[in-house]
Amino acid sequence: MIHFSQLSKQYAERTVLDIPELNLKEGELVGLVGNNGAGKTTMMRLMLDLIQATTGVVTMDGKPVNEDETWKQFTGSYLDGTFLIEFYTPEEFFGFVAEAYGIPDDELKSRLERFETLMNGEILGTKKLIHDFSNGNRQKIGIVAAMLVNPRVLILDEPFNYLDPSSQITVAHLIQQMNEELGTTVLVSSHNLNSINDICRRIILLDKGKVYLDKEHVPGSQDAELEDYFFHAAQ
Amino acid sequence: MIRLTSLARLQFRRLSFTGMKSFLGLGLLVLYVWVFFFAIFFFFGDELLAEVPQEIWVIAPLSMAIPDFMFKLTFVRYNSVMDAFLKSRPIPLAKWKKFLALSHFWDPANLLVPLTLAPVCFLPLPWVSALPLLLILYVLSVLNGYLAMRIKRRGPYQSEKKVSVSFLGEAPLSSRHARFGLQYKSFLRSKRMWIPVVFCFAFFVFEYITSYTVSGKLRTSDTIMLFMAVYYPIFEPLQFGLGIEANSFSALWTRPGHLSEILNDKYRFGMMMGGIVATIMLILHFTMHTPILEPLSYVFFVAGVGGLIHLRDAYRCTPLDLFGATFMNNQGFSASLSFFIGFMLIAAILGCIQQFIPAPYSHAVLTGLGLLGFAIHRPVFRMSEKAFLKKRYKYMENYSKK
Repeated sequence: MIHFSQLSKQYAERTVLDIPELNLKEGELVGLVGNNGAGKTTMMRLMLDLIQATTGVVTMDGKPVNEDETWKQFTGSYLDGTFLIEFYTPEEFFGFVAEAYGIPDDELKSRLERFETLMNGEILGTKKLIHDFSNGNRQKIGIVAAMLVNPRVLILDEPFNYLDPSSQITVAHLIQQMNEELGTTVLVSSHNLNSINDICRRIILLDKGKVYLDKEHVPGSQDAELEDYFFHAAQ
Repeated sequence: MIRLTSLARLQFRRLSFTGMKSFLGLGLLVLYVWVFFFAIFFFFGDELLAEVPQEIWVIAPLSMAIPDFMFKLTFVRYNSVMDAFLKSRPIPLAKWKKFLALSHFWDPANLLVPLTLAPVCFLPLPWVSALPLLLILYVLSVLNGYLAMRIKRRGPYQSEKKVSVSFLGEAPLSSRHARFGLQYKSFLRSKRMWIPVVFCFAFFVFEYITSYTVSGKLRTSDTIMLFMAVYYPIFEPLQFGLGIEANSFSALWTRPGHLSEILNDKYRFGMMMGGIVATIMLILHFTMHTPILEPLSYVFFVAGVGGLIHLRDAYRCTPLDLFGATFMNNQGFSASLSFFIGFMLIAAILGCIQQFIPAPYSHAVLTGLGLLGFAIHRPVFRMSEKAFLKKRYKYMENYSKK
């Protein structure tokens, strides 16, 4: 499904990401963890062709993402605030997303119902621009917009940031549900080990741009190896 | 205790980081106006000096103080609020106010009038009169800037104003024309976008009507006012290129769609603005009997050809903060090199056509060029998209700079 080959990214002389080979299989729910500067966001930006790889390539369905735009048709993503249109209301923004993916209005309304618990009556119908929402609600709008398109590939960077504990649980549940019901391949990065442990079936640990650990995981269980790594990194 | 020089150094560092294009644009504008004045004095200098009383050469530059003040009151953003990184540190308010006042001496907006009018002081007047006059112009400009800032100043804890969209009623959930909304919604919801258009259009139309009503014919100065009245509303939303979209570029880039479609939308929004201008001109024609062929041909030309020229490299931009109100935000002074080249190109084409082709044929040519521009805009923007894609990472890196 998603293949990384000889992928590296350097800024000046500093290598921030170096992944010789990595495969994400169709339908996997993968957690990406690592300390600050480990290369998580860089990896995601390369997958979305937002920055240029120094060497190597990311392919989706065998097609390099930097040469063929087919991936945009089936990929939903939210990394940061630049994935939002701040001078739109949430309704207008969801309308924009629906237009881009050819989702009819009725379908859009029914898909949004799935996210009612997450939006908690604070997002739709407020007559506010996205710019004027709190960070938590902006995060929710971005996540909803990414999931709204029922993507085959979902890429989320730190989706639990800014969210209250209840919303974190809801987001984790929505990610898991999308993966199980639609077979969506999910790559989710987070500093919140509990959330990652709860939902992911595979965890990739990045350390200074390299894959330090890549292992299967039983959702809901704790991982001693991971905890050990972060404990020692803090020493 | 922080010193004034430290604040000034901070401001210059910020300007050198983000505002080089503004300074280049200012330099180019000054050069352009100087060449214009030197040419006028070279060709008609003796005539002018014989006909125009000497007091006029003093009064005329000084009279620019009023439009200068209006310009600053309307267009220039004065951010008297400290950024959080300053506000959270022990900086006495009195020192901050002193710095704000002093910063007007090197504010590019306050240098604009004295620099551009320097030839008008020195060419007709002896330097012993010209030098004090220029100094007075500079001081007046600084005072205008300070006064405008005092009028527009924001309280130390005043946050950015929220934009109300309650006039829309219940926000509809619809995917129709959502992408085109990027153009008109950004325009209508940002005061920095629509206020200059309304003010400039009203100013130029007022000048045009009063002058035409008095003289009963279109003089060269009226033609310039008329051109600016047509040009500005069409050009203003286009001048920032993709600066508005750059804020949300990840949202656009990671979803299906083409950049050329956004450029098409932008071009058509310019045409929509042209349509509004043309409608107002028609109303003026029927109520005040002002000429109509000339403004209509300008609308076709500016929207059809000017839109293409201004959007030719729209992707070379940095994000435009529609809501920001932070200290040292120089985006309000958004004169870029590309914008001046575009403006001068349009003015030069128009000038050549009017110089060498008599009316009404010149009107037909301008209209024809505008229609030609409309006919070719899609392939032109597809070519623009190809140029963008070749160096997209470099441009996208610029879009992440705020």
